[in-house]
Amino acid sequence: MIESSIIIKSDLQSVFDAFYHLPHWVNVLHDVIDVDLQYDDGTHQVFTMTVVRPSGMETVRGIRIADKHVSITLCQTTPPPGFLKMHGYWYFTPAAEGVFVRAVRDVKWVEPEATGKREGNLRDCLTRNLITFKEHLENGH
Amino acid sequence: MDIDKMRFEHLMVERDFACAASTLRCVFWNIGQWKDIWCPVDTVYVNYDDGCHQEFEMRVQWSGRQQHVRTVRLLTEAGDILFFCPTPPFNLVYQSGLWAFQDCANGCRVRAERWFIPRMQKNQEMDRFKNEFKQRLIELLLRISDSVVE
Repeated sequence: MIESSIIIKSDLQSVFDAFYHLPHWVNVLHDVIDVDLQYDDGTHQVFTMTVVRPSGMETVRGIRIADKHVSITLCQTTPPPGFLKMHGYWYFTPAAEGVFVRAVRDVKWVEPEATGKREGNLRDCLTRNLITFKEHLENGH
Repeated sequence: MDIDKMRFEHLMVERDFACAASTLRCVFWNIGQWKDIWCPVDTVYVNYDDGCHQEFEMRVQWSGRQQHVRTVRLLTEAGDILFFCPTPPFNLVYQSGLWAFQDCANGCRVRAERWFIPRMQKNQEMDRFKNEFKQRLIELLLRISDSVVE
């Protein structure tokens, strides 16, 4: 498991909504250039997302299931290149200073021998995204 | 579509089986085999299955016509199977549900629950539809019971 966490000084609904509403991600994360939300009933989502990486553009396909204001579960049915499996969770817990957000990823690599470096890169990416959501929610950036 | 803002219908059916819950859970998860068990199923195409998450497309004969249904299923830590339908049957706006498995004295008990929003508005049509839906679930559980015994 790879994980990162942060405290966001905002209310639970705003934080949960920011992570749940995928089409809004193009306005938050600079590397997300397109989100196609194929299904969303308020609890379940099916989507494709295109992101820019140093190696080029990557399009992933996934499903997400929300436990409103508690957690979001992710399974990428088409994971990024180099991944055999990409599952994930965001957990949202009210805290004294705001909302504690914990992002967890459970992955399998195509080439397991390079796991150490890639785990570090993925953890950095999770942390970077959490900081970006924090800045967006706290400062409107 | 936000189901919190819509009124959905609910159905529940239970049946006891003479086998362990773990055996039956596999039968329910292996959706590719359903066409050999339940005759309304014409074809099943599994797009994704990692053992905990599954996405499949199914062509079934319901209400006198072939229907295309796309379903996503999740195996929970408790061993239940939850699902929702990004493409529900044509006469539903929304469908989600679960298969819950519980070991009991002489085997196990399966509980099927469905939450759905039908397209029809009239109460009479709704009552008939719900009755047919419930009968279909009972029939499916019966067929699966037969297949486990065989």
